[in-house]
Amino acid sequence: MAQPQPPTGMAAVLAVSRATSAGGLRGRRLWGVLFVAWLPLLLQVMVMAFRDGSPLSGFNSFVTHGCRITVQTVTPVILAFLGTGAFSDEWSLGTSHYVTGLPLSRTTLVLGRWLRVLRSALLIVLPPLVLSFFLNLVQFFSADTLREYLPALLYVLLGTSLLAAGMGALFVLFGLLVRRPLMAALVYVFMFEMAGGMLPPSFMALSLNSHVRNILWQLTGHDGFLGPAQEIWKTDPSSIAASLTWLVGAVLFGLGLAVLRLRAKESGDSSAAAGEDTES
Amino acid sequence: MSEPVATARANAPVHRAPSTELRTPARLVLQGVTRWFGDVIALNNVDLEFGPGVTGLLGSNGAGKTTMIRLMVGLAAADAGSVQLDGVPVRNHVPTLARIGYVADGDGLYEENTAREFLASQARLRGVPSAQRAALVEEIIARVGLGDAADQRAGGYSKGMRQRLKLGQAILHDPDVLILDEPLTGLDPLMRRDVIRVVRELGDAGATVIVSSHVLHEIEAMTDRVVFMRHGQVLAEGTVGHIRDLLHTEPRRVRLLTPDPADWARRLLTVNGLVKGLQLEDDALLVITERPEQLSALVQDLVLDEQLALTGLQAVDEDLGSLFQYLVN
Repeated sequence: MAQPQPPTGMAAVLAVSRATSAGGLRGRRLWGVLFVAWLPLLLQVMVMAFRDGSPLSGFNSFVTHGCRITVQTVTPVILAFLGTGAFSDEWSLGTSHYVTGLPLSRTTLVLGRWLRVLRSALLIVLPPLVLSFFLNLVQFFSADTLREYLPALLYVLLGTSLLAAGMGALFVLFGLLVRRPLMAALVYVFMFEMAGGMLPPSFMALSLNSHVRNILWQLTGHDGFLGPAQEIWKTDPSSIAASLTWLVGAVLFGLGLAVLRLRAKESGDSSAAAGEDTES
Repeated sequence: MSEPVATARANAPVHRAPSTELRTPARLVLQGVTRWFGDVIALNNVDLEFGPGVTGLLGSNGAGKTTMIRLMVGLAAADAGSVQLDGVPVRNHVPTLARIGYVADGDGLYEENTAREFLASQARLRGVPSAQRAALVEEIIARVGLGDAADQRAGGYSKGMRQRLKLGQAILHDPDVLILDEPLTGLDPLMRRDVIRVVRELGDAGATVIVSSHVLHEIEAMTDRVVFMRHGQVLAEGTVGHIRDLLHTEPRRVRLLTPDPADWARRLLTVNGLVKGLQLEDDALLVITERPEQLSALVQDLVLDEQLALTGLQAVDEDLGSLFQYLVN
């Protein structure tokens, strides 16, 4: 009799990322997230319609309306929903043992779920971003325009992916760390990502989108990417390496603590289960 | 802390649906297992060994069954002692966990998924090769009787269908050890019969099956091998007959089915010290005695020699409920 052998390594991580889970993106949740992701593009189309099809300002418009809104607001909000639900829904719906009872290491589980969050977020966020790019440049379209601006689009896509990676890891951790993870994540997004300009410059390091914008600004040279630290507080921008370090650090910090927290949470879960299994 | 990782397997043999063929016996051993929750002790120095076949885990709510089960499936760690499967610790040991199937108490399922999606996903996570996954899922669906509902979302399932799906995911990888926490709760008689059938089949095939329940007749329908628990301790373990024999000092109750119970009562009371108590019933006499063998011989004599009417004889205490009451009291 042959029992199947549990997957190992990357195969295991991919299996977890593709497996069903509580709180999957279906129904109203999916439509809500798609609406948030496509809203900036819809607004741009409406603006174009009201301007009787007259041209927007090309790449500048893409950066201001498409990219900055996506990087600063849409991506963090979507990740707040996806990331926090990666594990917390399992406990709230009583399905955690389907995950923690698997013959897979805790590191594999966390990596797999994070990868799932990242993939979902990028599938939702990047298409409207790409469409926004072409929509804004359509009236200036030529081989020269493409040659000039296509690398910038690639940088933007890469930057958004980095942001999703860092923020996804943090919000996966939130989902294992706090009782109301979605609320906590939205507060974090509002404080550090959306209203970041109001915080003193020393807090800016905690804003992942400001790091992404700093990288994009330095790579593209477009002032539209300037972060609030530079715009408002006139501080010197960090180097690309420093910003990358922050983003990678967020991934490692988030995922590392999430693994530890998952182990600890299992014990807590046992305590809760044992509440009905003990007599005082 | 490093976590053990299963080694990749070359030339993996073809995976089949849960077998009813005999298999290598698996022994799950608990040694001195203790588990505290704050200042409350849930398990107190438990020593147990589970082997092939079905074993019932009996105890009232709060006896420590669920805590023990969570330790046995590796979902929690013991504060003291060890839980080992064939000499290997269960907790955090991937190859060992791969040999265990678990049906949890509670109703949790992925509500948005169909049974087919859920089972396919679990098969993937358990390492069933993609080429065999669909066929295996079909076999499991048929085995747990979810054929008509396989493409419905679990959110619309009845309690019984949910239990079937939970059982399906637990036997999907053909586990050597199957642990079921209150698997019959909420099932109608038909579904109950089906689940009991599957459990008995696995037990007969040599899997180590542990079934917890606080309903005694549910366990009786599956096995006569039981572990009684109370306040986090093992009160008794073994077959019902074996445990009953251990309680030889306890008086036993025997019901004589007769149209003339008063006559039987008169005759039995003439034997000094044999009867500890009597209860007249309609067409029956309940006798309480500390000497069941002597009672049996006397009843035989009275029927054969004196032609007293007797239509039947029932050993009232040979059921789990009576045993449990004795142990608890």
